[in-house]
This record gives sequence, structure tokens and C-alpha cells, in this order.
Amino acid sequence: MTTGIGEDEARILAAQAGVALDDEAAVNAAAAMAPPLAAADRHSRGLAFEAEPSQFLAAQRRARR
Amino acid sequence: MSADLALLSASELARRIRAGKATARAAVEACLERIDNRNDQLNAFIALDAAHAQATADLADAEAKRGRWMGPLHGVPLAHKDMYYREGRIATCGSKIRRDWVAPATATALARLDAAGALDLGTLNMAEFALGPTGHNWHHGHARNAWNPLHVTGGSSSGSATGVAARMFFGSLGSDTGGSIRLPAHFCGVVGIKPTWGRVSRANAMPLSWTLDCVGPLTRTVEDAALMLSIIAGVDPADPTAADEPVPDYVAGLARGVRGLRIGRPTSFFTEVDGESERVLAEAWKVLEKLGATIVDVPIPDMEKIGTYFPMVMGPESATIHREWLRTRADDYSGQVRARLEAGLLVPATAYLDALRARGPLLAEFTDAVFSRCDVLLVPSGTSPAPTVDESEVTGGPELVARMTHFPKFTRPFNYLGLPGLTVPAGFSGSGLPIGLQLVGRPFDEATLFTTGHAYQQATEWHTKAP
Repeated sequence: MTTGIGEDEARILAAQAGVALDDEAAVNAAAAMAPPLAAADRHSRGLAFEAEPSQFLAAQRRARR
Repeated sequence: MSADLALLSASELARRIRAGKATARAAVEACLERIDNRNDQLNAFIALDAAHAQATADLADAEAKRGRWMGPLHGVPLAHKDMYYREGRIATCGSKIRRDWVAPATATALARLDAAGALDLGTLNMAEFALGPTGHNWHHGHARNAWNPLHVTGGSSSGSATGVAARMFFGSLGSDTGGSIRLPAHFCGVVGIKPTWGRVSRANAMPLSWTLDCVGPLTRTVEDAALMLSIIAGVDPADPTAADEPVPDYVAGLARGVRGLRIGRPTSFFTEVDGESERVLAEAWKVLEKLGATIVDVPIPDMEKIGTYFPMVMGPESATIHREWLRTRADDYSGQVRARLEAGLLVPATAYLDALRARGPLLAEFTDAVFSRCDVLLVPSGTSPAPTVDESEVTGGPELVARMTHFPKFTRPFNYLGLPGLTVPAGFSGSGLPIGLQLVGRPFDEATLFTTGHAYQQATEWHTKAP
């Protein structure tokens, strides 16, 4: 599982969230643990235009017996 | 008498207390004896409150003498993961950061157990902030598996699982965001249910990832799990995500049996287990078939998308919850937990929202493919029995990523899909470590899981084995 996130990008993204990843070890650890963005992007290309998070509850109701 | 009481199920103890054949105080003393004998080795408790348990047991016995019964768990000693808040009591959440934090209110799930007459022995060890599948805890000490202390308990409900297995208490609340009830139940040989998302209120329980978090019990028997869930489930004004769905009488439904029930056997993905787990599961199929269930082979939809999207949800939600402490107290997290939380900062909002909006379509795809063919799906809870504490202690790098996704491989998908999953002990490895099966059902159909698990336990004796 690879993230596709480099060290510089990790620093920038964390800084945007208000957290400074100053320590190089912290940057590396976070980047190594980050979810696989490229794979998620690939999967999301097939998502319906109309799909939205609230549809989960509707799907949950439909999935009942 | 005390030693015998400790070996009963919660339901059986409650029946004996009700019949005047046992007392709550004797049950508490039996638990304290077990705790005294084994807690130093297993590290199940963060804070034991023996005096409180003894005092409330005496009150319960006094009420019983007057013929006044609090509820179906009158006088039954429990203990809970240290993330269920009780007003005025410290809830460490397994962390250094909250080592001295006093809860301002009581969790709805705890309040409902209190109202049902249950006693509370204290707070239990857990992975730091419920973030860890093995049971390691670098602040409060690692919990150890009751069947072999060299092995992990599983996490994050580590103290709950090993304490129930060691008969230190009769049941425990755990929480499950990616497998934190079912994985330790599997590793420690106890029952654990992750209910449907929204089935149980999470009010005043520590959050980790609100889209995935579920509250549920770990117990010795399926009957006990059914009883505890029937008490804690249901709508709650304090938690708007608690579903307004009727709560069936799960215990009354246990006797229905599995004759004619279609139980799904996966033909892919969930088949990727070690040889010992494969052997145990093969025996479980035979038992259920003998009980009259119809076993049907079920093709499993592509699980890669679910595996990819899961951390896209959990990462940003947990990072958001912890963001302030990541700014101000980053060094007070253990290395593993800090790295996992900070990784959540690196997920763009669009990726997070894609993972959320894919959830409905993927639930529909899964249920259409699986539950059109069967009533219950039977899958493994884990890929193997519990590894050792030492071999699974990794703090960073690619190995950590691999471990964090491998251990909960068969549990995480059902958090993302919001489906209920029940882990039931199903046998042992050659070296004596427990192996559990997992029953998965449609949304809000915990009743069928309990019926199936109970029928299985009536035909087997795995749940009666104690370490």
C-alpha cells in the first residue's frame, strides 16, 4: 500500500491542518502510514455523479429484510 | 462456592441470584479472587475499585432480600473498557494525555447496565485511544492473553477480552471501529458483537471515528451477549446517531435454532486464512449443517475498494478529533499511535468525502451479492491465532502498515459497511490458542446472528473452556 505522498507534501498537508511535522522521523512515519490516495482516486472515478454520504442511511434501510 | 461462581455465565449467575442460590457479594468476591490471582500477569485492569463493587453488591443483596429487583443483571459484576465515561471517575482512554481526566457525565451504555442491576468492578486496559489491533499499550503496559501471556490479546478492547476469558468478570463493554471487539474476542476465545452502526448509543463514550465507531459487549456466551445488547441498544436522545429502530427480545429469540437457515460460505477473500483457522472453520460448517442449516457457497464482491476507503474515513476523522493534542502534546502519544493519527492529516477532503459517498453504493452491492443468497454469512474473525507480544510490537515503517491492515482484514470491511458481526469461539490451534468464527448479517439483524451463534454453542463446548 503506497500513499503517493512525499515528505514535502506531507509537511504541507499537515501544516494546512495546523499541525507542524517538524521532525523528519514524524514526517516519515505519518507519510508511511497515510492511506493509499492513488488507489482511492482510481476507485472514486467510478462513483455515480449523484452519490452523496447521506445515501448510506437509505442503503442501510434498503438492505434490511 | 466462590470459585464455582466465577465460572458461570452472566445469565446463569443472574438466574442463581434471582433464585436465592447465590449472592452478588459472593460473585464479587469470586471475581476479586480471580483478579488477585491473574491480573499482575494479564494487566487487564487500569483501575480496580473493589470497595465500590463490594458496597454495591451488598446493596444489591439487600434489595434482593426485600424482593426488589433492579433488572436482568441484578448483582452481576462487570467491568468496562476505560473509555466509557462515568461521572466523577477518571477515564484514561488508555492514554497518557487523559491519565487524570475526570469524566463529567456517564455513558448511556453504562447507565443502562447500571439500571439493569449490573455491578462495575473498575476500568479496563485498552489500546491508547482505542487505536491498535494488538493490545499493546506503552503507557499502561501491554495486556496479555489469558491463554498464553506471551501472546497478544488483540485490541483495542484488550482488557475486556482477556479479563472475560480469565473469568475476572462476567462481561464487558468494548468498542469496535475496525475490529476492536471481534479481534480480541477471536484471540482470547470469548464472544464479542459489533452491532449494526447506530444500534447502540455512543453518548459519553470516547470517539475515535464517528462514522465507524460501535459499542458492544464481550461475554462468555452468546446468550450473555444477547442479554447485554438487549439492555444497551436503542434510541437515545443524547446521541442523534442512535437509530430509532425497535430492539427485539434477543434472548427470547435464541431458541429458534438454525434449521432451514441459509448460512453463506465465502468462496474468496475470507478464505485467506492459515491452516489451523481453516481446519477450525471446516469443523464449524459441519456442526451447523448437522443442526439443519443449509450451507450455500457465496461469491464475495471485490473487497479492494472497501479496504482502500476504510482508512480514508478513519484517518481524517480520528486526526480531526485529536488535532488539538497533535499540536500541543504530540510527544505524549506513543510513536505508533501518533504516526497513525498524523497520517490522517494527509488525506484531502475530497478523498474523505469520496470514501463516505461510496459507502451507500458499496453496501447495496455487498448485500445484493451476499444476502440475496444467504441469511447469515460465516467468515473468519482473524487470519490466524494470536501472535506473540514481541513479534507484533512494531512502532513504524512499512511493517507497521502491513500489520495494521493484516490483523483486522476480516473485521474492518463490516465497520465500513455498518453491518453487524458476532465473533464466537470455535476451537483452538495446536499450541492452545483460541480461534473464533464471525457471523455477519443484514443491518439491524443481530437477532439472527445470536440465534445462529447460540445454536452453535449448544452443540459445541468451546465457550465452556477457561484458561
